[in-house]
This record gives sequence, structure tokens and C-alpha cells, in this order.
Amino acid sequence: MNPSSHKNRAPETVPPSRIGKLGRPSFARVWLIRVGLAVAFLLCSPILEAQSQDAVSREVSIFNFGLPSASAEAISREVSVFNFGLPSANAEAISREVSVFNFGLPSAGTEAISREVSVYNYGVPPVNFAVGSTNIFGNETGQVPFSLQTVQDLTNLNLTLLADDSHLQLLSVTPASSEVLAATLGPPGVNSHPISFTLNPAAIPATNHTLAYLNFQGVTNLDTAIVPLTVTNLAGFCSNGQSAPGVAANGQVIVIVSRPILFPATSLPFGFTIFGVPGATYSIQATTNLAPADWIEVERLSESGLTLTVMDLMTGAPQQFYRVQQVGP
Amino acid sequence: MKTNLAYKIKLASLVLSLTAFASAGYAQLTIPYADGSDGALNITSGTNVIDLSQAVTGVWTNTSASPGNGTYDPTQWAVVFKYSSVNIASGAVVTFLNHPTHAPVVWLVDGDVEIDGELSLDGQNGQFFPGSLNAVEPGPGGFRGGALSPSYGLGSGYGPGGGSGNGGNGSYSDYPYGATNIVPLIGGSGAAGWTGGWSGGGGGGAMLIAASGQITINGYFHADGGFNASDTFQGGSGGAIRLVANQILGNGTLEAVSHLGGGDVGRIRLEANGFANTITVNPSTVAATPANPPVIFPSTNAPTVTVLSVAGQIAPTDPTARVSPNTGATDLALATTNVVTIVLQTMNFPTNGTVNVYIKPLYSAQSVLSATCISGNANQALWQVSTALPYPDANVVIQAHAVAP
Repeated sequence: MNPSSHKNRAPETVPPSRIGKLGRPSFARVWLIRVGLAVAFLLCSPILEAQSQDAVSREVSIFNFGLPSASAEAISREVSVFNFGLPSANAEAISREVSVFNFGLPSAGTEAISREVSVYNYGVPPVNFAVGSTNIFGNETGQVPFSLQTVQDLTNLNLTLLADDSHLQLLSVTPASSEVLAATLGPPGVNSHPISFTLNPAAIPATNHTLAYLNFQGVTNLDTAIVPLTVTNLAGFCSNGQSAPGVAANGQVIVIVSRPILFPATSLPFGFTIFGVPGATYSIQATTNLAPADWIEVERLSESGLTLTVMDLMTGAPQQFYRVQQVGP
Repeated sequence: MKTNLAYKIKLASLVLSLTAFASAGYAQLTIPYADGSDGALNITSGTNVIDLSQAVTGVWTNTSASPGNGTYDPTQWAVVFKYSSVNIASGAVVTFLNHPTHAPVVWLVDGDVEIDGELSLDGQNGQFFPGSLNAVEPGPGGFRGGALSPSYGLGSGYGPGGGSGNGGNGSYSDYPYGATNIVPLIGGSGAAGWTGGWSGGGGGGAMLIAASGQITINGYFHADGGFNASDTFQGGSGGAIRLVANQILGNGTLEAVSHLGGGDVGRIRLEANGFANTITVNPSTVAATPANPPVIFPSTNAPTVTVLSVAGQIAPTDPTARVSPNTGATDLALATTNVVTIVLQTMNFPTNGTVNVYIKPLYSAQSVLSATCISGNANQALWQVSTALPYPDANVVIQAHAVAP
């Protein structure tokens, strides 16, 4: 651009197309218009004053574009982009496909599974078995009861009875209740005697009852003894084959050969029972010390039956020891 | 539960595998001790039940003492038949009556096997009360379905993957037990009882057929889990089928799934030098080339776990795991209200492994306890766990599962 053209520019003119047919106004016409407007203002001014004392503006609606004017904003042209997200062909690699079958399991040899084992828990022993007690003389036979209480439908009941063969010879088992179909005293081991019962489950009473009797004979070639009768391996078997554990109360046999045996009372008043020979006379002796002992006879009694009970032996001493000595025939 | 689409995809992969292996003309396999002493099994028609309880107890390597009845080997826990050949004609059906120990079945065949008919080791379906009082029989080698007593409650399914909860399905291949090569041979687990009145389906059985010649499957050989017969749940898991032969041919179907029960699928293992890709296999598997001679039972140095005693009572070495009231005597009988100690023995198993003990009462939910190693080493170790067993008059089945770290 030529700077001189700016300085020498002609006054701005309105193109004829914008002026229209009125053409350019003359100086006189301008003044006529100005005078006319002044007269109109004077004529209307009272009305304007009255209105100004109670002015209410006209409603004006505004639409806010919230944008700068068109001349202050710009919007670019749209540009489309496709993003492969990959390097160029020369810089990439794709592996071959590899198929995998995932068993999700350990390989063989790292685990083991046991055989299943079934257990039946009765909670409390369903079979209650008891052996009675008695006393005999060395040359006598005797018997003790076997008692049973169960609600199980037992078909078999087996046990092992431990008894000292040197003092007691077991002879047989005799049924005492209708449910016993067979009772067997098996061949003895050393101080061990298997006993088995075959039962009719339908005939077993639910109450405690005598099942059978154990028959035995005392042995005389040894001295007096207390022979425990101990039950082991007690097991019942139900009609479906299920085993039924049992609990047993043991018994004993007192075999009197010559010397008596004393059993103290388990509660007051203190006393004891003499298991001796009927018809024999016994001297009951006492001492307050064993070293040295000073045995004094406190009573002399004759045993009329299998047992002799001695009571009222309280002396007030801190301790007292007793013994019994056969003094009569 | 797997979808049909998943099965189809797996089946397609199997077909590819089989095609890759497809070959013929290999030498026959040498099947150990396949002396044919049980004769030829030739079933031409009808439904035929093979009573596994008739098997004579003995050692599987010996010749059959009762030809046709097989040999039950307590050490391997399997009923082994030594056939000279097997033919199940089209239209004929062969099923099994369980051995008292629920042992799986092994056929060692000195010849060919052709199954054009149906061979089934399915677990039985659950029963509605009062039939639900009994645990449901599995296929041979599988585990029983849980019982239901409206008075006492519902039992979990038996087996390591036994279903728990109310009517829970049995698991197998989705649960980490058993080996991918199906050695040892072990079947599916049972589903739990359901308070709606039904016992759970039994697990599918487990069977190995090892033939020196070829095995042709044109029929339907299945070891599926049982289910709730009134509906499609309470499914025992599928069992296990292992086929070993020079060639496996045919266009039939092999199946070890939960059938309609919704339980887990079982396993199928195919070992052959040549395969037909026209056999439908469900669930699918990858094929393998057999060893010659093939492995029949786990090696002597394989890990084992055994329940030795419960509350001081020595467990039998060949337990039946019977549960009363319907099936006779249990292995052990206790009378205790106290905590009892269960002693287990592992062999060839690391002492830092995990030994879980499953306590499965007949009519209540199972508990899973972790046993503690108390002595020994990887060669042989003792483990124990203490727990109170339910009472009174309660049946419980105890089983251990040892997993190496």
C-alpha cells in the first residue's frame, strides 16, 4: 500500500446506491427538520413530565447468547483422525497362535485321596453288661450272674473274661433268660476266657435282667484270694450287623481256703466284714502302730455263715490297725 | 455349569487333536496281566447287570479265581476283569451293581473291544422321602449322593467334591481332586440332599478299559452323575472314563457329565496310537500316546493317605464305608460324647502339604478339617485332627484328601 494515498485520501462519501432517490440534503432542509423537531418536543413535554412521575418501563426481552461477538470467536474446520495405535508395519510382530487346554488340576502324583471310613456313634454305650460277685471256699463250686440292659436288637454278644486260673476254674455259662439261644465258654487262654452269646433280639427285655450265670470252682492248692472277674472286648452286634459298644461292670470271687479276708466298711460307722470259714473262731486284734506293733485282742467272735461283720470299732485314736486271727476250729 | 457352546468349542479342539494324532498300523499294546482268564464278554441283547460283589477278593495280577466274575483287589481298590475280548452288540445294555466298597471297574482285554450298544456307569438319581433316607448309590468308583431326613436334616454329597448346602451339586473336574491321567481311577462326587424331600444324585462311576487291540465305540458309553428325578438339579458330578488301546475307533459317544443334574463334568482320557475323530466326547479332552505297557495302577511310590484310627479304634484296611440304617454295619462303632482324635497316615507325601479331612454325617452338613502332621517325614508321616462326632445314633463317613504344596 502506498502511504501517500492514505494522506491524500478524499473525504468519505456515501455511494449513490445508499442515498436513494432523496439525493443529498441541502443546508436549508436540515434546519427545517431541526426546527420541526424542537416544536414537537415543546408540544409534547407536559405529557412526558406527567409520565415521569409514575414511570414503568416497557418490557424488554433479552436473548443472551453467552458468546462473544462473531468477530471474537473462531471455529476450526473438522479434521478426522483414525488411530491405529500401532507402530508402523516394520516395527511390529505377531506371534503364532498357541492353544492351551487348562485342566485346572494338579498333575498326577501330587495328591492322594483316602478310602472312605464310616463311623456309627451311639453317643452313650448302648449295651450295659455286669458281672456279679460272690465268695466261696476253696473246694466249692459257685456262680455269679451276668446281667444285661440294652434296647438294641442284639443277635450276638461277645466278651473276654479275665480271671486268675490259679484260684478259680471256670466251668460253664448257663442261660438264665429266654433270649439266650446259645451261650459258649470258649477255650481259655492264660487267665483269659472268651464267652459268646447268641441272642434272639425279639426276646430281649428292655430292663436290666440276668442273662446267664457263670459257673466255677475254687482251687484249693493255694491260699485265700480275691479273684477279680474283669470283662474286656465287650461287643454286641445288631441284626443289621452293626456293632454295639458296651460298658461293663466287673465282679469278683473271694476264694477262702484258710486265712480270712477283711473288707473295711466304706462309710461310717467304721467296721469290717470277715470272709472266713463258717464255724471258725476269730480273734480281732488292733494296734495303733505297726512299727513296733502291739496287737491287742479287742474281740473274739465265731463265724456262723460265709461272712462276719464287725462294727463299732471307733476308739478315738488317730489311727488304728486291725487283723483277724483264727483261734478256734 | 458349562454351556453347550463351551462343550462344542472343546469338542472342536478335541477333533483337531485327534486329527493330528490320526494314524494306524501301530503294533498292538501289551496290557499287563491281560490273560483272558475271565473269558470273552459277549452281550448280544437286553439289559445285563454285572454284579461286582461277585468278584473274588484277591490280587489283580493273578488269574481270575472265578472266571467271569473278576477279581477285587483291596490294595488297588478296583474290580479287575481280564477278558479275552468284549462285544456289546447294538441294542444291548450293560450296567453294574456296585461292589460293597464301591470300587471302580477295570477291564484288561487281550484283544479287541467293540461297544455298539450301551455301557453305563451312571450314578443313581436321588429319591423322594422315604427313599431319601438312604445315601444314593454312585456308579462304581464314584461317591454317593447325600441323604435327606425330614426329621434330622440333609447330608452333603460324598466324595472330595461332594455337594454341600441345600441340594448342592457334586464337583469333580472343576474341583481339584483326581489326576488328569485318571490314575488312580476315581469317579465323581455326589450331590447334597435337598429339603424339598429328595436325596442327591450319586456321582458317575469310573472305568478303565485297556485293550491290546482296538476299542471301537459305535454305541453310547457313559459315566454320568445322577440327579433329582423330579427336576434338573442336585446333580452328582460326572465320573471318569479312560480308554487305552492301539486304536480307538467308531462314531459313538463317550460321556462323563452330570447329565441333567447341573453338577460338574467328569473326565475322559484317551490313550491310543490311532484315533477316530468321529467319536463324540463330552467333556472333551486331549489325546495322548499310550505307554507300552500302559500304566494301570499308581506306582508304589505314589502318594497315599489313609485313615488309621478314630477314637483309638483301628480302621479296617479295606473299609466299606457303609452307613446305617439301611446298608448294614459301619466300619467302626463308637459310643462317645467327647472329642475324638482321627489319625491318618501319608506315604510319599511332603509333610508341608495339606491334609484335609472330610466329616460327612448322614443327615447333616459336612465339615472340612485340616489335619496336623505329628511325626514322620515325606516317606511316611502321621497326621491327626480332633473333633466331636455327632451323636447319638449318628452315621458319619470320614475321608481324607492330601494335596502337595
